[in-house]
Amino acid sequence: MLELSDSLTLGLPLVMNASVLILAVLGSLLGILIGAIPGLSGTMAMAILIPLTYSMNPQQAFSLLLTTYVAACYGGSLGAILLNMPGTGAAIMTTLDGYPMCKRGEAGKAIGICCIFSFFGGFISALFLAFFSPILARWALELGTYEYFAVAILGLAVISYISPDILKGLIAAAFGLWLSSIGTDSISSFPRYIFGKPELMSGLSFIPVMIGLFGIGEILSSIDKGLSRGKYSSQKITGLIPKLSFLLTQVSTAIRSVIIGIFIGIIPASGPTIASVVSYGMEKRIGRKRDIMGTGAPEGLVAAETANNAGTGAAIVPLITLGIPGDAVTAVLLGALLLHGLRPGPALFIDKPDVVSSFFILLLLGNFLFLIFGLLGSRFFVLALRVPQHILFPIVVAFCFIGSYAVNNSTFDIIILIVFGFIGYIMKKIDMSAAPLVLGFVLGPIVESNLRRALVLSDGNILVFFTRPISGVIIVLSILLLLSPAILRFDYSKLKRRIVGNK
Amino acid sequence: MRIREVITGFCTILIAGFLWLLSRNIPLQDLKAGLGPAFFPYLLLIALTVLGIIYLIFNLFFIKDIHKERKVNHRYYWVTIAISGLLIVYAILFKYAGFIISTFLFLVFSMIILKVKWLSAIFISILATSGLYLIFITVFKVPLP
Repeated sequence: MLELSDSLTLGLPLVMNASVLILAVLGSLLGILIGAIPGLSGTMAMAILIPLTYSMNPQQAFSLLLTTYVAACYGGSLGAILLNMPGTGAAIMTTLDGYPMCKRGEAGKAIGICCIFSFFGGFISALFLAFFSPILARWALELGTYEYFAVAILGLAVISYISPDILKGLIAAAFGLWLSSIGTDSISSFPRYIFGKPELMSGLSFIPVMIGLFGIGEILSSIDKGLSRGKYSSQKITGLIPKLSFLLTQVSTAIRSVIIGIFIGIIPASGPTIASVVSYGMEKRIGRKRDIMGTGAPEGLVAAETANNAGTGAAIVPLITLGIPGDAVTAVLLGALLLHGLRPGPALFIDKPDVVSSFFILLLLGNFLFLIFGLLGSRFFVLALRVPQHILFPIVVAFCFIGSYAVNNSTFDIIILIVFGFIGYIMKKIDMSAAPLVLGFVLGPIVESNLRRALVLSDGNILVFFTRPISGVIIVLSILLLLSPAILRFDYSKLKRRIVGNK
Repeated sequence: MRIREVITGFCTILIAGFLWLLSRNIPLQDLKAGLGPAFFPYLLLIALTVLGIIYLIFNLFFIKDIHKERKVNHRYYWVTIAISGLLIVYAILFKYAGFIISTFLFLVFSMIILKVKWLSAIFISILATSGLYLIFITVFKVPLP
């Protein structure tokens, strides 16, 4: 079992390798670039990069993916500041103060603040992951069938809750769970919905589904809305490094935001975007400069960027300790882990403690790298915003095709890619989030096997989920969460009048 | 009543019904036999049907129409359909003509549909196809058709 004291040392020999370090640098550069360009999300970046890692060992693969993950979270702020269009969803709150600063001619200052506080949030979050995960993994060893089922249901409940429409979120999650039942049943070995196609015996390939939904689906949706030609403010990017006196005035905001970011990030299905929204909202309510937030206040940038990067490491906690991904990006990471023969969960901390430790180190390294590249190279990265989407998108589609084909060297996966590309596009059209579908698809096997096992063990008594303390609390919490909008919106005075009359 | 939402609810029920038909040959077993491979899909299809009905009822009777028609830009609508068609052609060509020819043709035609000038489209497509070939086949040794 990975001990707390070994969290950041055991994996060092695996990371201190030239190829791993080169790939970390490459991942960081790619992450900032992809994150900066509106229309290319961090999730898409990860999904597209996974095929490049087929021939790599796990350290090489995750040095590319983890550094891309954290750097893309920072990169999103470049589009937000210079174009008023967040490069990634997590940078949505950065536009509120970043773009007004850019219009005032302070784009460099805004980018510098985002870079430094993104690093601060991400670094603390990575440390939290490294020190909290071994404790949680030890505790997770004691969890059983009922608890795993409950945690998976909580993840689906939260992701449906944060969807624009809860009912649509639940429909997407149910459809995703059904998709996971395609292929051979793990208990009876009976083939389900395979239509005579041997390629479907082991189920739908995860990577083409992901790339289809987040790659092709997003691109078709962007084309449908009309492409931008990448016009951006051509002001000189200078004055990136803020004064020490300024940094000191932001300490309280940064600490508050890092706590919010970690707390929100660790909740299944929340992640960096929600963390950023909540932190900005909190700062607007209690911050010293709350009156000028939204007009180009650096405090707004500090709150948003510290929190969204603080969510990156925290979002990995449920994935690595319980094997349950918290959001779409960590679901993609789960796919990458499984592709490299690593099944996340407490057993990974026992079987491969050095590999787990190397992931923590790589995450820390990723934060240092984007700090360096962000401060030194932002004036070059912003040039990426000039590449018109008319040229970029067809090339990304070609990337998606090659990536999907390379999973099994099968053109059948290309069909899956296109089908899910169209599904992703239709879902966007009807304002249905793809994230619950993906989470349902990923969590399906966990939900099904644990539900069936629990029902067999309890002689079909469904109440057993409520009578066990941990699973009971989690399931009740999930139900309350889903019912909360109806409970909060209900007109209790009307009910009272009906019961007691109009006296 | 919101037409788009009503159609979404109706389609959810239809899809659940269609999947139900596909599930007829999957056996359902008793508790001792582990409930059988049909248990989980049936449970989900019931959930999907119930959610679809709730969504439909909710939007038919409880949501007022906000009379806000979304502006559809027909130019982009046709561009999206054309690119979707190209994706299908690309998938077919990818299998039968191989990576290089299919990717080059897809890039050229999709850029032209997206209003990139002919010469630029051809030049960028040659560069991009060569770059992808270099990255995937030469550097990462991914076998492509």
